[in-house]
Amino acid sequence: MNKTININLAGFVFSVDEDAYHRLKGYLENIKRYLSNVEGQEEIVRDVEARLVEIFQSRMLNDREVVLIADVEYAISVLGQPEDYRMDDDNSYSNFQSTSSFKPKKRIFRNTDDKVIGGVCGGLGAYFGIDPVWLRILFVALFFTPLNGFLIYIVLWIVIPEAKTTADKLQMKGEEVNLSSIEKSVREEMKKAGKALEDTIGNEKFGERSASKVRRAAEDASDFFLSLLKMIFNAIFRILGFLGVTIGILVLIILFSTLFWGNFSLWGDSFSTWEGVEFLTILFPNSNMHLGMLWGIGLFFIPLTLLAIMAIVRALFNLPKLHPLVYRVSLFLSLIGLILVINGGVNIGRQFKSEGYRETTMQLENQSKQRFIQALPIPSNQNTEVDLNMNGKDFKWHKEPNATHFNLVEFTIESTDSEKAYLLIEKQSHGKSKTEARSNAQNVVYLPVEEDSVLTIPSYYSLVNRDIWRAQEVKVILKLPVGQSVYLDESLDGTMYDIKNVTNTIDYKMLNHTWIMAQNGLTCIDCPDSKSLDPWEELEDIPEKK
Amino acid sequence: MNIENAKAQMRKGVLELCILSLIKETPAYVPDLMERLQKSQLAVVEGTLYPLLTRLKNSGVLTYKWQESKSGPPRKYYELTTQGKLALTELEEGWRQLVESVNITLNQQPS
Repeated sequence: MNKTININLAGFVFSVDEDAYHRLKGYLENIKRYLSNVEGQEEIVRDVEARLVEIFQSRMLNDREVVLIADVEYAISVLGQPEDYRMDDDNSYSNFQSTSSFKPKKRIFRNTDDKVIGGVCGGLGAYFGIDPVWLRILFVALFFTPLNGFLIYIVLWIVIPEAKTTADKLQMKGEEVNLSSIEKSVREEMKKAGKALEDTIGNEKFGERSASKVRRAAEDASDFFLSLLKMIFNAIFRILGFLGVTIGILVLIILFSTLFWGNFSLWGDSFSTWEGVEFLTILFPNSNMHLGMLWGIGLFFIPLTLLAIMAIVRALFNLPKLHPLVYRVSLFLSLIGLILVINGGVNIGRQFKSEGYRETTMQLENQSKQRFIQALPIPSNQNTEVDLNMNGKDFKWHKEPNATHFNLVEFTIESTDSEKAYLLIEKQSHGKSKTEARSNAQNVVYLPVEEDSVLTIPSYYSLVNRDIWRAQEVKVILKLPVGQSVYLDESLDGTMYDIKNVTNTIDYKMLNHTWIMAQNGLTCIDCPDSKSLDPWEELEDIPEKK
Repeated sequence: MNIENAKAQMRKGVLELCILSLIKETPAYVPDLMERLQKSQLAVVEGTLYPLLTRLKNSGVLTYKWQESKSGPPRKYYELTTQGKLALTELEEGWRQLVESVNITLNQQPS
């Protein structure tokens, strides 16, 4: 089986065997090089290509579809070697002479003649013209650094092709060689390949003749489906490959910025990569599910990242394409990873399906007229805080050895008919079922503290670390009888939410003031007259009044 | 001295004259020219002709017409311009003189 490549020659499409393609390409390139100083070079090459079309068409008579190396060799025998294109009586020849001994473009190969493991160092040494021993020492030294010389070596081993032919070996060193001598050795190589190919084709034909018609029909059908499948898979793989490399590059950027700055920033929100991993342990505190998700993420990203690295290395060193198997295996692995991640995601989704509530009341000792209310901020420092915008509020969480705190707490004040003020604590959670959601809600630890006239509302609730996080929320309502008053400390900013009042004052402007529960609602005692506010703030308040 | 090379140089030297002469009567495209050149046992490959024809065309000696072909791409049929016809007569005269001189040189007996 041989790969074919579709080419366009003077507007005609040919399927060309891979060997034949390389021969043809080399031939045309050499002609161009020989004619590089000749006026009308492009026109000449166009003429030659048009003629090649005629020659190939004349050879494709017997329903043959693929241009083989033999056809290319025939065409070259008709058209002549690249040397035949030069004209002695103009400058091109002498110019070419002076450039013909130019160093052919160097390419990196693995030098299997001078190898210890894979010939990577040998090849690099030949390329850069240094003794490979130094490179080997460098790599061994890198093995013990975080740069991971081992990984680099493996990647280079996979990416760099082995120097197989003499031409490869000469090119590897960029040695001064006569162009035609390289071409000769390549041509001989190709002739051998062409002969082997013809032999196998002959054998196939013979075998086919002996096969029964039924079998052939079956083979045709299965061939058709196989090639159809292959086409579909190729298309999928190509799309996946493109996406994959893009994602891989993204991951690389994230990794680097994590390494250098500790976090990365995307669309204005900054995330810390390790926080993300830690968050998973809260979503899946127990178990295999958590491991499965991590494995999935790893399997999804690592092959793609390696592919991206290889793509970059390949672009930098002008290396040939990787073996398609490498792409397929890595894409397959990341596909498995993706399935694991999706599976984990669906699992999480199921865990959030139902909602459940728990309501408790907390009687307050102090029933005096004046009450001071403050919030207890979430214990956090910069390293353990995630700013994710959830429902218009910055989501913060903080993990400690035994418990994890979340800032999903809302505080509000309502009036009550009862004589005494009390706190209503409403815990809400999600879960697989209503019962589970309710038990998840019950796990929430939320403890306001009353000390004389000071009521301290934590701005966060806590979960013991073995309990699972299912987006629990806590709503604290201070039920206030008419006649009692509260002073709202500014620490309540961010925790208090939509406290109804007579003047429709927006939450943050209610802070640092004393409010009394009147018959018609909360009324400010010590607020400045609203008319003395500047017009801008009045404008802001107008929509609130309606 | 590279004998093969020297022979090739000689062939190439007279190639222009031969080509002009071949398309003096009927326009031709490259495989036609090759056929006629092979008939006269002048061993060249097509590759040599393309740059030569292009250069002759650019210098105004030749011109070409496109002709559609049944299956392949259109073909370039070359023919002489008036300038080309003049050039051909001059070259023919030059060749005759050269042959004469060379023959005389080759047949000269050491005196």
